[in-house]
Amino acid sequence: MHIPDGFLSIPVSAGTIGLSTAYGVYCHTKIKDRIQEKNIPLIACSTAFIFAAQMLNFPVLGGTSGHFMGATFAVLMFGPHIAFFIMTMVLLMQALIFGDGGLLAIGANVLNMAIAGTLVAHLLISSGKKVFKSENIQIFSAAFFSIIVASLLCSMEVSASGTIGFAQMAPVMVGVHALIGIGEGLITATAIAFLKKANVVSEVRGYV
Amino acid sequence: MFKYRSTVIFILLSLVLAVFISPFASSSPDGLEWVAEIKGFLSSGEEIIYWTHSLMPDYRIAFISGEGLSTSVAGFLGTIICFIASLLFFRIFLRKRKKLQSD
Repeated sequence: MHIPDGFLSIPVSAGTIGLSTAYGVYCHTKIKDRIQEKNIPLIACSTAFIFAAQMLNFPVLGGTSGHFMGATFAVLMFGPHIAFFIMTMVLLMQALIFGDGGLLAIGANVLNMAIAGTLVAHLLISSGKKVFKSENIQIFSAAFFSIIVASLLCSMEVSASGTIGFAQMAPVMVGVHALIGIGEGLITATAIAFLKKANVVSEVRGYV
Repeated sequence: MFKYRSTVIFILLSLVLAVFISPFASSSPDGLEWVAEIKGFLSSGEEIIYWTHSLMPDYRIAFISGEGLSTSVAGFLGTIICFIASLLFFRIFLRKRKKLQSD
């Protein structure tokens, strides 16, 4: 759901860039004293993995595709604050090098995927322990709802820009992303299970 | 086990996805594009493009004609670029801290 520049008005682009920058400063203060040198290669790997996995569009319904987002994956591995920078890094590279997502729309894309996506995942994972017994179901639901909330926010930004009415866009947008969210849940749970088996996860102090 | 075992496994997994699986990815429009198409505002996305210097637009390399190969090479480069950019970026946090400690 990378938003191109043409879908957003200048005020919405500027506002979301402001919000995203402020949240970035907050995350910076949160991690600047805590980040461990030994984790940095694995953080960089996660950035590369999320980029690579985002290239893999899978078909949903007729004529539509979706792809992995990775916010929940990043939160599970390193917590929400490092996850913000991982997601933002991927989005910046995609916008600047691959023309995926607009330049001024970067604020909205960061807000949806790097902020809302990670916060929803963080909230559901930290509270989900009491709700779900199975870790896989907990991971699945966090990933699923991170996509739902991101697609809802995306609808709000596009409709606030006057491109289309909210009532016209949100139901289809969230509807199709409910299907993509199922893919997100399955991929996130599978990736974490694989990295656990390969003993990669045990080296970081994340959520799993 | 050597020190960078996990890093190697993890980066290899990423490269396998980007190089060998990406040519088989669906080329259908993604969720947002699809919504824009059926709701009739897809064209407004093509009207304004502020950044026109993308090296590999659409995850392709212009001078490689084979579609699959073009995507594979773009995927390979993107994965390596993301890895290096992230590595350098997160090192900034360490450098600042070391400076403070030595002051």
